[in-house]
Formats: sequence, structure tokens, C-alpha cells
Amino acid sequence: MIDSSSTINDSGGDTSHTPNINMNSVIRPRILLTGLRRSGKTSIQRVIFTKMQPSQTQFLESTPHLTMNQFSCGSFISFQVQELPGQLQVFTSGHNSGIEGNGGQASSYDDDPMQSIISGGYDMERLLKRCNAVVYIIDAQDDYSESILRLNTIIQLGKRLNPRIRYEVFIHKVDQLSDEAKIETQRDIHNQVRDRSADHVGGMDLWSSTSITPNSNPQDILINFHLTSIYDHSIFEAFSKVIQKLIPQFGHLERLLNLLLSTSNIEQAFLFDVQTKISIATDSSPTDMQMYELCCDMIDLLINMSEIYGKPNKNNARTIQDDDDDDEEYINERGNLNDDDDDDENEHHHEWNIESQNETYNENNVPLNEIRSNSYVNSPLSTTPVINHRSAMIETTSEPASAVFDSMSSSVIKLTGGRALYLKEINRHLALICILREEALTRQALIDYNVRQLKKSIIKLFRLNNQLSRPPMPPSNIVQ
Amino acid sequence: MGKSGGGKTSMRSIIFANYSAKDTRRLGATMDVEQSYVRFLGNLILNLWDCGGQEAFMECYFTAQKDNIFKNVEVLIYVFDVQSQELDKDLHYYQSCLESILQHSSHAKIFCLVHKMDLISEDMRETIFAERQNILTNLSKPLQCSCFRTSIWDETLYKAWSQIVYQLVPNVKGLEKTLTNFAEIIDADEILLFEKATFLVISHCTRKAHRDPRRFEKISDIIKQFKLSCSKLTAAFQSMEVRNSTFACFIELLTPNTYVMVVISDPSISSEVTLMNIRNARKVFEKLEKDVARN
Repeated sequence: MIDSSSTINDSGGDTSHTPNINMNSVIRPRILLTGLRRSGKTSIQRVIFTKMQPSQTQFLESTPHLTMNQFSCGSFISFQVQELPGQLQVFTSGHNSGIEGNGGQASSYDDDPMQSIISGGYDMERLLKRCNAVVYIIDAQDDYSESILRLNTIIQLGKRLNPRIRYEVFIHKVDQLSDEAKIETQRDIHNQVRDRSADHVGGMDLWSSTSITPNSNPQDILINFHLTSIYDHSIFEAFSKVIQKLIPQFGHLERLLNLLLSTSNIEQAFLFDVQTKISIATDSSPTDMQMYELCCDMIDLLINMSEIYGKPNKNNARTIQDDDDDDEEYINERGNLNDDDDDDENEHHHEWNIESQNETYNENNVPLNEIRSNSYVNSPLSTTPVINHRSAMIETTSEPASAVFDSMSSSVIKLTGGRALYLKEINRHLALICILREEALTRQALIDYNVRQLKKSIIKLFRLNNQLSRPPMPPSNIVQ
Repeated sequence: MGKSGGGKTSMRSIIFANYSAKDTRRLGATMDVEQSYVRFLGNLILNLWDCGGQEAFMECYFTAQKDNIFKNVEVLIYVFDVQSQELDKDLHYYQSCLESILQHSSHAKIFCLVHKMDLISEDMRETIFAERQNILTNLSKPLQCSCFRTSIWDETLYKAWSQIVYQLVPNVKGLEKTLTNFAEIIDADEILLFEKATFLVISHCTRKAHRDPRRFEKISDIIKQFKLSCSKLTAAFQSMEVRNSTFACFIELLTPNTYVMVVISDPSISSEVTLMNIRNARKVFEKLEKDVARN
């Protein structure tokens, strides 16, 4: 942990070998959210991303057309959720596929929700080609045979078009079912999906629900089942797992957290997005649902207490201003996605944005800041897109982070039975929560130090990952 | 006391038995009088009489059981359902109740809770409550009554009960003085004292004006919620520290029956110093508590 530089070099090296993953981090990972009508697609989004009370979701109208939502889960991780209405038939005609040809244009085209809606049909082929994961929602309280049929259509289509898609099946609304019924339903759905998909490929067993290596066998279907409900934390947990698999940095984050665990005598570590309470990474030990819930409640506690006693500090006004800029930034970004030469004005814009971003970090970030601006000044014009992309990644937040969650936010909660929770801010969206024995807290200075190192590493990791198409910075440049 | 289905037992369960608001749906109607003894502040034992509200019982209270029920009452808590269709009947029972109180324990303090406020739309709450409060104060004469609007779904419940409990805490003045002293010594913005089991605020000292007058209830609510989620893990909440760049807040056990919350806004004071100060203050407060117990 102390020697964090080696990890960073590792990660830098890795990413340069996998340009595909790198691309994903720039073009937002896309999640296609679908399922039959009234299965709870909109409710799920509202509860997770706009903090709607679960009881309020019963008043939601059904969604009439394809909607797209951009979400930033932490400043560095952003993704797009496309919600495909349930009552529409799956379109398989390729009347839009002409646009597919020039890939670059299609991506900017795709980013524009208006355009897609105008373009008429919900061209499943195009949606599947462009998405990274399909979240399919099955209403467990309903007769789900029709739903499974539709899921299989999508899987068949997806296998042909984009074999790397992950299928995440949410067996939803399970809050009314007993534990036994839950397991029974999950097994039943699992079997039905498997049988049908096996039928389609001529009875051959190409099923592999546990495969986690994409591309090892193109015919493997990556599918996972989750039991969810919006009335408890299960939906957050399931969505966390979906997101975790889409984050290209996940492996590195996990490794970093494991390292922290072993060096600081910590039992478990989570990296949370404060806003949505999605955990974007955990250590590799199996996670306990109840621990996850407790961590969510701890974030609530921290934010609520901070709202009462933490003054809305002077950064507040600036944050809002930042966010205003973000939108503008984002529009620029969309326009320029394939257009690499930015004008000068834009450049200044970016520079300013980067600096203000760094201001929110603390003293330990200063060296980074320097390097950042140095490299910026020294770099030839060709690096502008890097910064362009990077700032777009950071600043397209759907909502401003809580104004009271700042660089000094931290919390320690001790429980009886010798357990303790430790929370520390990583950046203005992310928080690290550790579960540890109280004895380990006696050396809190060590933990503080290691967490500070981890924080630096995580910030660097994201920064390196965002430098696509450019070789990673020489280590000497980073470690200072 | 109060009408059937008014929410008396729900309220009691949340405050004294760590129920969550959702859990109260499971509660059935209270038959006759349910007595419970609640240990509050260690050696202060509250004897709660939860009186079933069905009319048959109510009649009985004012006739056969009158002596039994209304003798030695320290506090009368009367719960009104804000949505009740039969306001006149409610008021009639309330009046009978007052008469009996006047007769048997005239020194009792009276609290009226206008309950289930969550069912009223946000903008109407203020006017409806003011209206009810008016009726009740007039009706209560010559006795004094304090009215509160409550709901089990938000922090108003804690506000009302904090006030009720406040009347019962022995040596409030001594406690407040010591707390002020302590706050000055450690340079705290605010210190709250909570009862351990209920997390109701029993005393406070504020040295810096705060913008939110409802914060005490909110904090009780926040901590109670967290305690509930801890209990799912069969662990109990012990102590807490929360800070950001503008404040640091500590909740620690002070005496065996109380928790203290210290809020400090000076960032140069380190956690360890404050925690040590709290540890040192324990002796003083424990002594104070013992003195009270002896008297």
C-alpha cells in the first residue's frame, strides 16, 4: 500500500494493451433496461437515481417511448441507461442500419435522445449492437412465461449481433415472496431461460452462466440473475453488481482495495458512490448484504448530520457554477466527439475546469495538479482530445454532489462486539467505507495514511485510464 | 389516552421499544389498559398506562375504574387523530378525562398530541393544527395543556416526546448548568444530552445560533434509524464521529444512561482532544447523576 506507485504503473500498462476497454470508458457504457410493461423499469431508475421514495413509484405513468438517461456514478464513471418501453414489439428490421456504417457518426447520433425518438421504430438491432449490458426485468409476481419468451428473443438477437453483451436478469418485486418462493422462482426462471436458449441453438449446451471471460468463447452467454425489490437495498446491490462489471477499472480497484485490506488489518472495504449508494467496487471477499445495507445507512447518517451542522461552504456557489458549465461542456463534447481540433476558447475552458476540479481535493493532491497542468502545457495540440474526453467524463454529472460532502468528510462509527465502520472521502462523489475490528482502529494513523495513498492511487488510476490512444505517462512523471 | 386506532401504541412502541415506523402496522388494538414500566435515565422508572381507546373501555375508565386510573397521574398524554370524523365525541371524552384528572391528580401536566399529521397535505398542516390547538386550549381551562403535532413518519414525534420527557427529568437545572460549563471548557458550538434507550434529547446547550430549530428531533430520528439498522446485524451502536471541513460532531456514551453529542467547528481541535475531554467529563456527570439518585 505504501508503495502505491507500482500499482499505478501496472494499471497504466494494462490499459494500453486493451484499447477496447479504454474506448468504453470514453464512450459511456450503455445499459439497455427493458422488460414487459409494468415490470418496474422506470421505478427502478427513479428510486436509484433520483431518490424517489419507493412508495411513490406506484403513481408513475408507464413510459410511452424510448428514453435515455445519462448518469454519472462518481465523477469518473458514467453510463447511459436506455429504457425501452415494455409494450412495444421488438423491432428487428434494420431500416436504420445504414447509419451504422460510419461508426463515429452513429455514436454522436446515438447520444442524442431526440434524434433516436424521431427516427421512429425502436430498432432493437441497433440498440443491442451499441449496448454493453442488457438489464432485463421480470415481474416475479406476475406470470413470467411471456416475459421469458421475450428475453430469449433478445438473447438470440444479441448473440448474433453483439456476443459480448452481459445479460442481467432482475427478478423483480420479490418483496412479497417468502424466502423459499424466491429461491424457487429464481430456479424456475433460470431453467426456463436455459432450456429455451438451448433449443434455439439446436439442443447444444452452450450455456455458461458463470463465465466471466468475454470473448473466450463467442457463443457463451453472459447472464446473471438477481432477486430485487425497490423496497429494500436489494435493487441497489443488484445494480451495483451490474455497474461493477461495466467499469473497466474494476479489476484494479479491487486489487487496490485488497491491498488496503491486507496492509491495514481491515475486514472489508467498499467504494461507494455517495449520491446513488451504488458500490462501484469492493474487495474480493464475499460481500454480505447486511453489511452493504449498513454502509448505505452510514452514508445517510453522514449526509444527514452534515446537512444539519456542516455549513454550506463557500465552494457551494462554485459547484453550482461548475455544473452549469458541465452542461455546456457536454454539448460541446457531443458536437466534437469525432472532431478533434478544438478551438482555443474551448481549451481555456477545459483548463479552467480541470483546475477547479482539483481545488476540491486537498493538499495531497497538489503535486498531481502540478503534473497535470505541466503535461497540459507541454503537450502538443494532439492531446487536446484527451483532456476533452476527460473533462467530459468528469463533469457530466446528472446532479450536483451533496454540498456538504467535501474533502474532509469522514466518519468513524463503533459498534458493540468490537466492530467499527470507517468512512473517508475519495473524491466529491466517492466514499470509501471499511469494516474493521476496533483493535485495528487503535492504529488509526496508519489507516489514515494508507487510505490517503489509496485515494491518490484511485484518482491517478482514473486519470490514467482516461488517457486513451496515448501511451501512459512515464512513471517518473507520476510518482513525484 | 385517546380514541381507538389513534396511534397510541404505535407511538409508544417506536419511542420505547425500538420499533420502526413500518413495524407498527403489525400492532393490534390495545385491550383495556396495558401497563408498561420503562426504565428511563437508569433509575427513573416511567409507568406508562396505555389505555385502549374503544368506547366500551372509555366508558369504563370514567366510571368503575376512575379512581384506579386517574390517581397519581404525573402526565396525561391525550392523542387525537387529526383525521377523526367525530371530533365532538373525541372532545367529549377529552373533557371527561380532564374532569377526572382535576379531581384526582390536579397537578398533572397535560399534553395533547394531534397525531397522524402526515395524512394532511403539507400546506394545510399549519392551519389545521392552529385551529385544533385553539379548541383544545380553550377546552382545557383551567388546566394548562401543551399541544404538539405529530406523526410517526417524521421527526415531529421526537419533538413532542422530548418535551414530555423533559418535564420528568430530575434536576434539569443542575444538568443544564453543568452542560454549559462543559461546553465552555471544550469550546463546543453545541452539546446535546440524549437519554440512552430512547435517544430523546433531555438537555442541551447551544453557544452558536443555529439555523434549524428542528435539528434535535432530526438527530434523534437519524440516530434511531441507524440504531435500527445496526440491530439487524446483532450489533449495537456505540459511538460515532462525523466530520467534514466545517464541523466535527461526536456522539459518545457519557454516563451509563446518557449519550452526549458534541459539535465543534474549530478544525484545529483534533478528535483525540475532544474525545479525551468527553472521557474526563464523564466523572462529573456520573457524580451529578448519583447525587440526583440519592435525593
